[in-house]
Amino acid sequence: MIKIQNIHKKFGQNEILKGVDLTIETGEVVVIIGPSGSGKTTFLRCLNFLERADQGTLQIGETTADFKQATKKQILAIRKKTAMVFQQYALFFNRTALENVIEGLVIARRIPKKEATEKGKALLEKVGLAGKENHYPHELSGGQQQRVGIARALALNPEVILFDEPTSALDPELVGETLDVIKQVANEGSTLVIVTHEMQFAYEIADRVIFMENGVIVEQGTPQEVFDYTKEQRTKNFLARTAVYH
Amino acid sequence: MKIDINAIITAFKAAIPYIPVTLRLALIPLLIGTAVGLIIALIRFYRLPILAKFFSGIITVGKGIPIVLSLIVAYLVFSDAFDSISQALGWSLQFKDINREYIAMFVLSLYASIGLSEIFRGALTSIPQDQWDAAASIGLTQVQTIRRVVLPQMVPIVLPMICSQLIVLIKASALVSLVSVVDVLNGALITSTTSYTFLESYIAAALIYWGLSILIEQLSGFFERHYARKFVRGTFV
Repeated sequence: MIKIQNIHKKFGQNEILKGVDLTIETGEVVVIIGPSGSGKTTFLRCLNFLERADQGTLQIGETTADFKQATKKQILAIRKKTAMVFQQYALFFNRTALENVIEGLVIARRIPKKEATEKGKALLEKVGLAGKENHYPHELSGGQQQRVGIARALALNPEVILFDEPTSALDPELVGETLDVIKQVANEGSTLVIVTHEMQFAYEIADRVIFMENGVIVEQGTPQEVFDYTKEQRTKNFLARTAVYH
Repeated sequence: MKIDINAIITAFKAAIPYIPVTLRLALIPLLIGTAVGLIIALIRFYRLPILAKFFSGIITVGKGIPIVLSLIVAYLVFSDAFDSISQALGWSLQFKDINREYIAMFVLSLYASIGLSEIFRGALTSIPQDQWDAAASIGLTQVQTIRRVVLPQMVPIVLPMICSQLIVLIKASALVSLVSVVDVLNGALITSTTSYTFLESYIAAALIYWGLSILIEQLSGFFERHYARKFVRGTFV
């Protein structure tokens, strides 16, 4: 279980997160939607300390951290329980697909290279990239790179995987293959937090949809509740502006 | 004016044995400068309190001093102060026993450190933020991130600049004649002291410097292509 309480984050004078609370059950798939600048990505980045929130607490499993006071050790402990998939894939471009996947296992977790390699190969096969082990990122398409990114996150067996707009940088025809892999991961019972603009995808995959605007959660519920029986006017306005969602 | 080809050949032959001296005078400062420059660059990149400001000041000052000037100043200070310091410390070492090459290497190392620290600082900032983020997200520490992700990605960026720094150092090393070290230039000039064929000696030395520069550029190109095959092509946005 992941418990986030009262996250506040300011960039200069600009308050991006104005006290967000969220509890995520193990195995739950939470999709966060909302307009640009609503704080979705910042919220996600705070969950693994890529961004240091000004205030609030975070609990992942047995590990807790206070954003204000967290030590380096606590931050590493939290990062060990999370993994992230980035908008621009963020693969290490000096490493092959396989090396990207096993880097965290070998270096951060100190798992023997042979064992890690086997696991890495299996994961690449799972995301449909068997035979691409020794390709460097620039030799792969965007969709393939993003699937390596997903494999890299899966390799760490995290308690939660954070997806930061995983398909926003992809060409339209490559979005499908990436979303399929994410669905597969969701069906296996992983806990996922996904920030996305793909409403159709959100509708299909989410256990819970969260609509954020101006640094607060405006509305949340099952996809049906949020998309079909929208309560809040602000959510309705947002959904009316986005493309047809189902 | 007539140019005496034979004098060029004589000077050329006389200068060749001193190529190792010139290379030594450039390569050792390059190595020292790489280590020191990288440390300075990291200190400034992480904005370590006091130290970052200190180095930024030193570099501004250092950049503005001609090498000739600091070489002579270093020589004067050394020749003046060395014996008394040596005596005070109880060493039997005297200034006349010290190889002048070391003074030249010391000064060139300072220059290389300044130049290379700026090169590394530029390269550090050119590594995309998401590479740091990705490394942090999989649990790498800062040191692991620098060693495993950032430094390897900096190599193809800095390599051509390190090579041009080496060429700059080779040319700067010609100034060591001021502190009476015999290098390629001095070696070539020695042959002209009796025959007054100075122009020919300078031409001979120039040919050697050209040769060295071209050789270094070729090596640099070779390494660049090697890295390009590996991972650079098309990945720097």
